[in-house]
Amino acid sequence: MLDVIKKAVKNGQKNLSEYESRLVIESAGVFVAAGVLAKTRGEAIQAAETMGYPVVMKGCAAELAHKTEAGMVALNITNAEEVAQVFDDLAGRAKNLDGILVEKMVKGSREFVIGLTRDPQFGPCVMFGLGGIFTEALKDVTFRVAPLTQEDALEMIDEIKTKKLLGAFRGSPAVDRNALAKALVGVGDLGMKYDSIAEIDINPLIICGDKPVAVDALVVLK
Amino acid sequence: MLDYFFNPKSVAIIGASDNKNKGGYQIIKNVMAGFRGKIYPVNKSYTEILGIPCYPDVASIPGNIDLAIYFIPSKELPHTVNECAKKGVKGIIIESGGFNEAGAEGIKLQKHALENAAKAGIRLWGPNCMGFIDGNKTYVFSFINSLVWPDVLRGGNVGLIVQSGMLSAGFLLHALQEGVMGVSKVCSIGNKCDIDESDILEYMIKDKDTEVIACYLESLVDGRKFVNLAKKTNKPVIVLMGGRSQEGAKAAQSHTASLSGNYRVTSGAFRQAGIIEVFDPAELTDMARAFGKNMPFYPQPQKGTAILTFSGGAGTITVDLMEDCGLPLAKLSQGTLDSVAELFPPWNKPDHPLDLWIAIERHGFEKVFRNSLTAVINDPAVDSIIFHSYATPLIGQEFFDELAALIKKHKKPAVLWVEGRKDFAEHLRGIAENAGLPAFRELNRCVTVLNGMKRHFIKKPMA
Repeated sequence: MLDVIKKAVKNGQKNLSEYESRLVIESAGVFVAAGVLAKTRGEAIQAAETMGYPVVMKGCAAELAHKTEAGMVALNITNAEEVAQVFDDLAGRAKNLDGILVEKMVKGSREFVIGLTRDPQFGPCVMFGLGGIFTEALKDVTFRVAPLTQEDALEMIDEIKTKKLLGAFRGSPAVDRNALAKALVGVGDLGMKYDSIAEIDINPLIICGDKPVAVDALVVLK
Repeated sequence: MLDYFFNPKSVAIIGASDNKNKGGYQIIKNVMAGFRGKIYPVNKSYTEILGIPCYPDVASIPGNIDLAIYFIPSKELPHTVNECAKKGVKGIIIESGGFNEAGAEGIKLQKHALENAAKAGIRLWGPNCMGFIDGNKTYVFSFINSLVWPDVLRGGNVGLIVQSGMLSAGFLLHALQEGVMGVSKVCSIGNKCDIDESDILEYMIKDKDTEVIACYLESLVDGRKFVNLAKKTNKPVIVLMGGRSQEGAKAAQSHTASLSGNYRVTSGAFRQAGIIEVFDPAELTDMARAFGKNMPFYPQPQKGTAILTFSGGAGTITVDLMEDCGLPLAKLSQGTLDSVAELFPPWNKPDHPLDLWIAIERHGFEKVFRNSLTAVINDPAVDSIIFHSYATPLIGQEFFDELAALIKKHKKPAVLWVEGRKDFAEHLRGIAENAGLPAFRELNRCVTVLNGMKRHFIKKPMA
């Protein structure tokens, strides 16, 4: 079993922190933005300088499932002074943080969502659909029962009403369908492999160039 | 497996009656009409029903019994199960209501009966159902009215699994009379306290008499099992799922005590398994009937459907409906268009959809239909045809036989839309259906059926 899951189950966590969630979905073949969990101001600055600006900084702890609401997310940070300032600010807002997650800011206007749910009828199921603020309003999502074949995943991609957004669209290239399908298959496999995972929510998954990149992820435990 | 339901040697009818107003009369009348095994009516009020001996209770029946049909009040079930166990009964079809769908007392009775059955190794079918019908063997193990069905019941290759009493009766009548469709087995499974849709699906997948499986369901007992079974078979599995909406789910719960799940998940799981989902009982019969005709069909995603029509408007609407559901229009070759153009006046060129009226005016229906159908069916870009036939006495049986032969030869199916004077149109539709061609009076039904067939045979190609 992945160490982060094992440890979290042992600690009685309800969910994984964003950093831990990233590790889990990355192991399943989902692209994530470059990211470092910084424990000190110095580590944060070094990470930002290495990955290049702009960056995003987030307070990271398992208890912080709703970071934005808690004011623990800072976007579009463009230099070392700002990194230092934001680090101090975030670190001061909450106790018991695992660290501050410094992530390369992913740019892209096309947002999707990938989820894993456990359906009482079908067991682990993968969801894919339109992400961001439209997820709730348009409910343009589709499901498949895990495990998924690559063909199942490609079929899902073709099934959403907003599939046009996945083609070449307003100057953006067509999404790498195989990479996206691989991510869907991988998330389904996590559901088959780890009984302790109750659900996974990857929202948004931003199409950056032609690659689907997870920008926020939450793994909920049973 | 489950052969004691479908092929019993002996049947006890608990609650058989001599009173024509009672369901218990219909059951025995129906069973006696087609079943040639031993029949034992059970009812303490009679010594004889319809000329055969009637027994006061199950224990008095001489010898063992395979199957019991239960049609007495629900409170008698738990102990009747025990009585049946002593007579070697392997399955009981419970057609009475008053169980899980009827509140706390009913729930208790169903649970108790189930426990007794499990101990005795008896399988329970129902309760709250209409039993089953075998169209080929002419078994009618149901209280469906014996006056209604005999002249319309037709054996065939379509198996039905239905989670509703009335729907299985009314639906069956509709299905049998709407066109040429025969049924292998019609199973009404009600509350499915034990035997559920997956059990019957598994049986029908193995059943040689069943080539197409159509279901009306209000819930899935084990969704994963059901879709895994469907995934592995090449037989078309068509499902109408009741309770998709919030209000519909409430209705389903009071109807058959069904708790419907997350419909979006169910719908996705169906697609993944290659199950064809439909949304209306007529659509369910349309689809089942069309598949039941076994037209050869080898569709490919890059190929398309050709439309032949006598009306520009009907052609346009058909193309719209096709685009709505993602059924592509064939890109006809220049050669095909040139060949059709030979029937056209020099000042007018055919385009796709092929509006043939101008040619029909010059050469008559049969010649134009025959020549253009031949041209289109030979086009490699075409995998299927929607053919709009004007209902006229000028077109007869021979024409449709010829079209059916053409389809067989080229392995490209045609779905017909028939329009015109109502009596001619119905007559023509009958002729077409008899020739093995699905024919409809509505354009959207043509498109829906063809789309369902194309999706199915792409995912699960014909041998």
